Amino acid sequence: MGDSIIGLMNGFADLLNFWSLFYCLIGVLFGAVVGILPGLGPSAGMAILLPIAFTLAPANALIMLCGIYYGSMYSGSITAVLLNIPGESSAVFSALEGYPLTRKGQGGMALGVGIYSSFIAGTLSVVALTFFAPILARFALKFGPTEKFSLLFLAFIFIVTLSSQSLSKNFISMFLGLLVATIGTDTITGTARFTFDTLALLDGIDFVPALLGCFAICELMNTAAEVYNPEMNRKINKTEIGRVMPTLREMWKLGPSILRGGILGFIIGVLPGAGATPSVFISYGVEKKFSKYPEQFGNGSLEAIASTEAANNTASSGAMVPLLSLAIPGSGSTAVLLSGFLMFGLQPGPQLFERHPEIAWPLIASMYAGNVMLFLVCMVSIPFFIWLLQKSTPYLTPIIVAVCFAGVYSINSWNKDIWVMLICALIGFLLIIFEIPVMPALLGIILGSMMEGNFINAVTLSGGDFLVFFTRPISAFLMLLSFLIVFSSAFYKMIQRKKNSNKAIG
Amino acid sequence: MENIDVDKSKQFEKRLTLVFLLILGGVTVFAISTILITMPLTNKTRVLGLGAYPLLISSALLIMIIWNLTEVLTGKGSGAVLAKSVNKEATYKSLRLLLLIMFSAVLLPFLGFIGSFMVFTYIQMTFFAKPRVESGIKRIIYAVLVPIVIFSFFYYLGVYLPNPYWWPF
Repeated sequence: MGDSIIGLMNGFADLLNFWSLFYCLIGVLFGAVVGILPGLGPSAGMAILLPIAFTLAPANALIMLCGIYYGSMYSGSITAVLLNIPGESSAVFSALEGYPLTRKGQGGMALGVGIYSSFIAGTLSVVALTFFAPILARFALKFGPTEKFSLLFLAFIFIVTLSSQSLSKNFISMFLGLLVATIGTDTITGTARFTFDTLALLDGIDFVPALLGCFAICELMNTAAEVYNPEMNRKINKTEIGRVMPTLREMWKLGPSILRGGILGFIIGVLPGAGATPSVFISYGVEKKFSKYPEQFGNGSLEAIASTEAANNTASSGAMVPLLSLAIPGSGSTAVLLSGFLMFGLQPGPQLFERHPEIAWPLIASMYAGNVMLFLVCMVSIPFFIWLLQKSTPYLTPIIVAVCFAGVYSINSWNKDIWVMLICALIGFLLIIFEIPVMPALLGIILGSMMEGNFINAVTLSGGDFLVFFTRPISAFLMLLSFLIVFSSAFYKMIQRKKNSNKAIG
Repeated sequence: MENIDVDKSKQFEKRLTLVFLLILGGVTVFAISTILITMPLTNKTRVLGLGAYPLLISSALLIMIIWNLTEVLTGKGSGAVLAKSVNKEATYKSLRLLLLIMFSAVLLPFLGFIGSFMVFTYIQMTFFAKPRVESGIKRIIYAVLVPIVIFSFFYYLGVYLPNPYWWPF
């Protein structure tokens, strides 16, 4: 630990020069812009700047790329909270919980809580990365495909059982999403499935069009259906966003939520291939279980926002653990970062800190600085978004639709993705009418291929033994926890229904 | 009289839900038959074939649909009735906006991103917007500027949005 502290001090000493800080800021700013735009994730943002990074000194280049990675982590939540457009799949809960708060005139509070939670959790996670990376990397290696499948299964069970709607409808939504995720080319054999000889379906259904269709376009459709009430419209347009700075007391109350989300997010982020999305879903589920006000979830819960934003931020730091310790990228974004290392002839892994401390430690120091910069960038940009929100719906609708079209088109430069978005909007709208929750379906589309890949690999490695999910200890624990949650949820709903029918008779 | 109207409405929603579930069930059965006909379920090297996992998922989906159908038909269970009534006028307005967005997607190859969004923005602000933007000049200026600004912004980021097919550049 002493060596880590000395290394970190040297890292800060190397970082604190104009050009390193400048490139860190450029990265954070670009990452913030990229995070807001749907369809352009941090990996696309890093890829766009990779040619420029190549012309810089190695340390500055990696600091800039890392800044993009970091900068995109929170900014997607700003549009999610204010406009119900999640820039990333991990910002889905910010939309779900934050947007109702915006409609109530408390959008500023939702943003403030999200920013502060991200900042606090992000700082703590970088500390954990600094001192515990090797230990965590060894823990991550214990997670094989069996454990990963069980973890994803648990994430689904959390989402399905948390909803107040019927279990059957939740499961319909979940399995529908998982089935849609099987469309396209099988990732293991490369064989086409459910494509009906159509070129357009070979790539499958990307989650970004589905996300935008079900959130942004559906929300515009709901707004179009609302009866125009000048009084109500004036109230919303006068932007009672409220204050953005939560008080110390309010943040203190949210401390346990931030800690829970942060720890979960970091641990799950450490697992190679997991990424921020499963960590956000699981932290939401856990937070609802622990919350004193679970009825607020889905209608604007600050605890949910604090927990999921903390998980989102710490998962990105966690994903750096396998990259820096084992040279295994934890997510798509860290894979681009790995290419940045290789571009300069650097090999991440256990040797990086010994052979190139002048690269490794400034990089870690830049994550502290990047966290502060991101906090300031977000605080400065919020007034702009509030100004944007003050424009009434007739002006906002074309902008939102155009940005959705552009964001979706940017994925593959193909009109097919736009049509996928619109069809998903129609299906999402129908699901809402019939009170079938959309979230499990979205989760199915986002995580379906990962789940299938782990399932197939787990069964293949065990030689066809389906009981492997219950014989390996970590997997068995996760599966038993999942079944316990399902049965307790069903039992609880049954008791509630009996109570309600007794009340009605009484 | 009110009770009769409420009953009629509930009956209509029940029938609508049944139709929706039957369509969903039909699609699932179609998926299952596609899997059974076109995809192998086992594989010597992988143990599980190409169709094994989709078959598991679609079978589970069918079971859940049948479960919900039973709830709706018997009127028992939390999935039996809709909590909120279906508002026909609201649904029509929502679908109308979606149709307009789809129309602009159809225009994309012919007018490009800028052209199709000029059309979308003008029509949306003239006929669908609430409150309606009265000034025709404002509508035209906004309809011209917004697509150009967004096109240019994404162009700067290296994302080349579609031009009309006849565009020579």
